[in-house]
Amino acid sequence: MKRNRDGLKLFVQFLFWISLLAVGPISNTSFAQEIPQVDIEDEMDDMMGVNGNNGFAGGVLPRMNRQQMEEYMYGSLGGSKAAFQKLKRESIRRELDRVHSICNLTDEQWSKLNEAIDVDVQHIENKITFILSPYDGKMTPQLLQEMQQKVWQFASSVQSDKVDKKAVWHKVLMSQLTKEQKEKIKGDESRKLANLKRTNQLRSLLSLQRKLGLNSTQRAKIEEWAKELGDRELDFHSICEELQKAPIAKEILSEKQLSALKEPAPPVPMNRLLPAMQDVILPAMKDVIR
Amino acid sequence: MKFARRPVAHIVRLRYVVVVILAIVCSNNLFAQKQEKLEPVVVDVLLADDLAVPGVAIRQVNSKPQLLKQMRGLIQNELTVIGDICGLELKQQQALADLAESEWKPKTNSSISKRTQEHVYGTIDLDGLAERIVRLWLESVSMKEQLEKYDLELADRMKWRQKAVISKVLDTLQAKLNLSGVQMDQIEVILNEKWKDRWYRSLEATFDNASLLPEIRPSWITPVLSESQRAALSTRDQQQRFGAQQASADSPSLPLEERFRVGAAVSADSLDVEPVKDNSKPVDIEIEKPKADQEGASDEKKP
Repeated sequence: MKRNRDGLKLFVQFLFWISLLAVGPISNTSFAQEIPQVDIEDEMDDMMGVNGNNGFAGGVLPRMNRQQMEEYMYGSLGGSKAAFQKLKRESIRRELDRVHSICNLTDEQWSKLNEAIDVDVQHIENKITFILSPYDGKMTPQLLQEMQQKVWQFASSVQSDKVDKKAVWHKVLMSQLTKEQKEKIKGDESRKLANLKRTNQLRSLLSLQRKLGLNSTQRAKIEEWAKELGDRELDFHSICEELQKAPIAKEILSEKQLSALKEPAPPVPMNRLLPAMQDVILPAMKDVIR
Repeated sequence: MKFARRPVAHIVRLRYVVVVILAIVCSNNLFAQKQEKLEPVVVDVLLADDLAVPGVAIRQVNSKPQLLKQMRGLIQNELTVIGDICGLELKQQQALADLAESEWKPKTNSSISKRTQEHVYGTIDLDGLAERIVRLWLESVSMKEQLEKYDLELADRMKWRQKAVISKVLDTLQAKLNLSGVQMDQIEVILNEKWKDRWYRSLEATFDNASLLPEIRPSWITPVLSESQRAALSTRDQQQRFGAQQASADSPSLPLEERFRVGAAVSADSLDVEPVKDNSKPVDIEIEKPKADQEGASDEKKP
């Protein structure tokens, strides 16, 4: 009897260890899948209010008073109200200095422009006051979110590097300039654009050098050919296509260089991948969805 | 009766039985469960680490094999230029091709490994590396006059690079300081006077990362700037950090099993060309249909 009991005990222990082994994979089964997983991206979206919830506005903004909201806004425009005023004046002044160095503004024009700068800075401050005017410290999260969006849009428009043609100083400048002065400014603007195009063209030529392994004679001739392309802004792939068509290519390039010119580039993000997205990946996804 | 005599021992044994039953139930549940979830479309995309498409799993492909081929392409380009301009004799050409075949890998391996890391983008100049090592090999097999011809070629190449760096610096300063055309011309003259070849770090550093452009001393250009421009010059720019793991699209490529050539000479057959296993696929899509569908389809085929 005792021997039988020991045998049973051993059998039960054996079953116990087998059961433990079986419990291991359970963590991968439906039990585990039912445990809610925290998705960090969703959490971030919730925080930023992407999914249509209250987002950031539901958390930090309601705890701010009117003064803090104003500081928050000027913080995104330069750090403080005084810093914003200084930076804004300086950026307008730089643009006017450029105009002055091109076409010599008169004292009269300067005095009007200085007044316009003051008006412009004041105008932006007024607009900030206007945006914050509905704030009474007891706003709903939705209203706060709308206000936050206005703040971001306004801040990004003020921070932009582009000349604001709606700005008062710009309107005053345009009204004060003579025809000759305007032409001079136009000429200077084209000089700036020409340098940008030259930089892009030089990049393409350096890429061509890398791809084809040109020698100095070939380089000199290709540089001359590139000048003939004029103001056309060509990236590396377009310049390769243009060179393939040009008669100069067959005159100066070896057979190997010509075939290297024709061979497609390996895929890189965005410029080469987007066609792949359209042609291959998206149709494949549609098949899967079907 | 037994339970009444030794209840504790029985409960202990029962515990084992309960655990076993539970385990069996769970296992049954596991095997009976049908996996009806759609498998994601798996896309092997070379270089596409910045892409996010819902429902598509992007698998990063190792770019080192491609970089190795591109490095060989750059070296071959240099060897071709040398073959064209230096006037090497056949014996010298053969020696140079053999030297390149036997030494290219140890000389470039470490730079290529570094280049596969995103954070070094722009700071590893593979073009410059190819030029330097090929010049070293040429030095060991050629005469002084032949080497001088290659040096002249490299100096001429630097002229394009100089123009490119200065043009890019001017664009950057223009965006920051609102320079006029006259000021741009003046600064261009100054930068040409102060030029040092080391200002060109690489093609990527010049065009893709403004923080890797050469540092311009304010004292060089402040004489041509206005007060407001000087104030803006002292402000710091935001650091830009672009990351890219892979070689550029404009690089040449030479398969690992293809031998180096200089003029009429090809590297000796006795030298091993070891093909590296290339796992990279440009864009490859594997679509796995839902298992439930597959089962349904297999059921239909059955008589």
